[in-house]
Amino acid sequence: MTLLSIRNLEVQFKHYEGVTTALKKISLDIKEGEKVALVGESGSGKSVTARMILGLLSNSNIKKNGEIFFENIDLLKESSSQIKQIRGNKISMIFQDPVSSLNPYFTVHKQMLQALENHTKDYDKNTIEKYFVDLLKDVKIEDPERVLNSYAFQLSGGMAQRVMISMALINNPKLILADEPTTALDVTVQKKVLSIMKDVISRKKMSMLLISHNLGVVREFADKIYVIYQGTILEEGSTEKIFNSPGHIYTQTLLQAIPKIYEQLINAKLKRHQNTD
Amino acid sequence: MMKIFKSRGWYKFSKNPLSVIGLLIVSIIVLMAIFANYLTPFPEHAGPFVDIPNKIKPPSSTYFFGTDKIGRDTFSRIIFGYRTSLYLGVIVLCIAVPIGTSLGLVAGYFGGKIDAIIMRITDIFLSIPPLVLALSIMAFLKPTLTNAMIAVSMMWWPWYTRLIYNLTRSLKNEGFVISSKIVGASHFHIIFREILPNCSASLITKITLDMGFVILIGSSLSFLGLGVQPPTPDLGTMVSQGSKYLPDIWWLSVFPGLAILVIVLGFNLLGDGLKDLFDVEI
Amino acid sequence: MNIKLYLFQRLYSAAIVLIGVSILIFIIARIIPGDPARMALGPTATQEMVEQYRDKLHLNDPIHVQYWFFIKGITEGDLGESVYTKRNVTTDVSTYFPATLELIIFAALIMVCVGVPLGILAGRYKDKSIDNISRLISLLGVVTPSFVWAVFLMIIFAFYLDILPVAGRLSQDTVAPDKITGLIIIDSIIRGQFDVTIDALKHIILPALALSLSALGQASRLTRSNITEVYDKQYIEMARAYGYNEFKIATKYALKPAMIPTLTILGLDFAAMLGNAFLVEFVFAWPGIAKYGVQAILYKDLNAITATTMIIATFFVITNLIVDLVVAYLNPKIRLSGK
Repeated sequence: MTLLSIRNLEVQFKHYEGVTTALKKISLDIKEGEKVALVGESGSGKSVTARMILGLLSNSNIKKNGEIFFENIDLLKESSSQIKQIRGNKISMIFQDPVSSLNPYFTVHKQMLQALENHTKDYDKNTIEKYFVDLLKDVKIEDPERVLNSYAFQLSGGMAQRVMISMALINNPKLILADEPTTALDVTVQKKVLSIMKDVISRKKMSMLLISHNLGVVREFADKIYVIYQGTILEEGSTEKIFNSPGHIYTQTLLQAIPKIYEQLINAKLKRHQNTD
Repeated sequence: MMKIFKSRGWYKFSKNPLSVIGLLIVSIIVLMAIFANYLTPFPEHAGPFVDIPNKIKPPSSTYFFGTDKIGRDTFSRIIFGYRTSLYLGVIVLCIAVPIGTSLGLVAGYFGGKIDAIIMRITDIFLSIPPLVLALSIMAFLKPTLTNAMIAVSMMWWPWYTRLIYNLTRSLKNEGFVISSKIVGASHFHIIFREILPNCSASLITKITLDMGFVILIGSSLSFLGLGVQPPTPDLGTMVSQGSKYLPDIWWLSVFPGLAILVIVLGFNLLGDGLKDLFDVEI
Repeated sequence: MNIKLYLFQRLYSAAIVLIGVSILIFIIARIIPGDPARMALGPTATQEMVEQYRDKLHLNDPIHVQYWFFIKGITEGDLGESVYTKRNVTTDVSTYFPATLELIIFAALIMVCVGVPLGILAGRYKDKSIDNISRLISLLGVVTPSFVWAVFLMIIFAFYLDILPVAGRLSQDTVAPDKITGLIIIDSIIRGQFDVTIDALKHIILPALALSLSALGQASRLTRSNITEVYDKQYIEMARAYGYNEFKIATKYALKPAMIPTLTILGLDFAAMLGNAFLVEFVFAWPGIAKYGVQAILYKDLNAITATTMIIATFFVITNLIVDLVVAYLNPKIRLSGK
């Protein structure tokens, strides 16, 4: 069953030099339990797509057309208070830079609690701590109690991103949007965070929209791939199809851009790293 | 110099009406103060002039801002008061800026012990409210314009030390400074030929802003009776003396008060414009 | 670096600054030409009287001995006798200081209660009319000396509208409550004399407003720039993506990061009000330390001048120290790592 369906979405930014079209009538579908990747270079409109789904870009200088159906309601037509009900609840989001996505003045615990309280007031205060600890354990955090009482600046990038992943899981969302979730991390921890994310999302049978510029990252992660370029979807298809028989010349160029040797080196390094652990 | 008028900064400056207003206010006031003898309706009223028949006249077409208890024209006295204010501002900055700048250059460039000593002393000066420091110096001096200038200069140099110190510290690691060190330039050359010219935009902007604030502090001193003494026309003294006759002879304090506001505002707007023009942070 | 080291460093540098200030004030009082004893006693005093007075002020001792007496006096709370009031300066200061403290506390309240919300609104509605109003207030506040504000406010509210009193802390027929803290408003509330409280409030509004206006403008501009800076941060978008409502973001999630750095400057502004209090107290005949200081200057009252300056500088340094400690406590980054 289709969970999210974007139909002919068009987005334009008005500014003092004129109008820029960020998205040109794109369409995209995500089924329940499906992991979909949206791949393109920076400025192609992929981040705008994620933000449109959550209604995070809403001011008078933005013109939008089309539909975004989520569970058969059109998110673009919902009132802002109803969108707020969905944000972080049925759809949650993981951002690119985890350390600056966490508020430096509040502990992880406080921010997780707030993410929960934004959507439910009746929870068992005695078991909530355990719930958070379990969520952090799900993303393979070894000392969840310490992390809960930490501030963002006390966590490494990889650790903070794992916290963000568990925060995204708090209200058991149907769909998780991940906007370049590993780009800001060290190359060595990228793979680890990705595999943790893939693992936990598969287990919880959630859907996911992964936004990335890196086809290498996407390959091991997504069931389906959309390739976006300058606000237009150039090609879509199963991961297998895209990698084995790319139709569009742009996709072929993207594929060629994956640094093969570099990847192998990293894999070898990772292996050595795991062996020494 | 011509380059400035073609630069993006100048475009920004001239597009901002506030900066242009600031420039206009300052130019008009400076010109009026210089040519006060020819431009004021009653230049002789600047001194100890008495005209009893025309005392305490409210504002009119003859006396724009009214007359005081002994019949002197407030408007003329305000223009001459501007002359005093500008004189004070220029002298104070002529003393404070070179002292503050050279200390900041030395502390920032050489670092180490000399840095610690100079910056500690600067901190001490900055930890007394400016007006209080000037007052406590004035306390032991005769209240004259010269002494007021000395007192205000004494409290003003640390701000320049701090500004130039921070600039020097970042400039000294720039490529052009390091390369001139490598080719064997003397400390003197590096400080005055390499670093100082690169501080000039910040300095000019700060001096412009400070002209306003020095005038403000100077008028505060004379308001308390610790600056310029009558009969020399001074805006702070005029407000102070005029406020004794409130509310009936309101024009004696209101117009000099507004006059201070306008000149400080002018320098402030101009300084903000220069900030855009040179693209500096103060 | 840990927090203990941070605290130690702050205390240490505050102490150094205080010692430096005491030396500075001492030097100013001694180095300046003229004989302070002669200046204090006036031209009619005999040479013998002057000599006696010089002995009393330890002016005939070597300079380091003089400084020793000065410091000894400060630590013992004995700053010598005032020529003018003939009382111990410490007594004088403790009589006059509460009035000033009350004035600047009230002015600081206005600065915080008006300036900060104005800054928050200006930051949230950037380049809208509220932002331009706050810009205008701040500009006028900065370029107008507080004595000019004082005169303007007096003309409007005390003379033209005639709704507030012109001068003093209390009306002539009102008796001040027995001293507890020395702050009339607080003392009268404690003693339950609410009519006195109201009278005192009426008297304090104009001087406090005149004093607060320049600081208020600065406070609102600073709050504005910190708020806009925080709203550009990624964690605000994150908060929205997790369903925080805008009210919660504005009052808590963005406010805390924006206000903690603002606090340091508010502390500086608060302490700096002591300087401008000289001008405002003068206009409104407010019986505070600043008025006492001006009088001391006019009478060349050496002990009173040094004491007043020293008290003000100490207050300035200690306020900044307290604010730094509060910020260190509120900011987890400093609290946990001392940075």
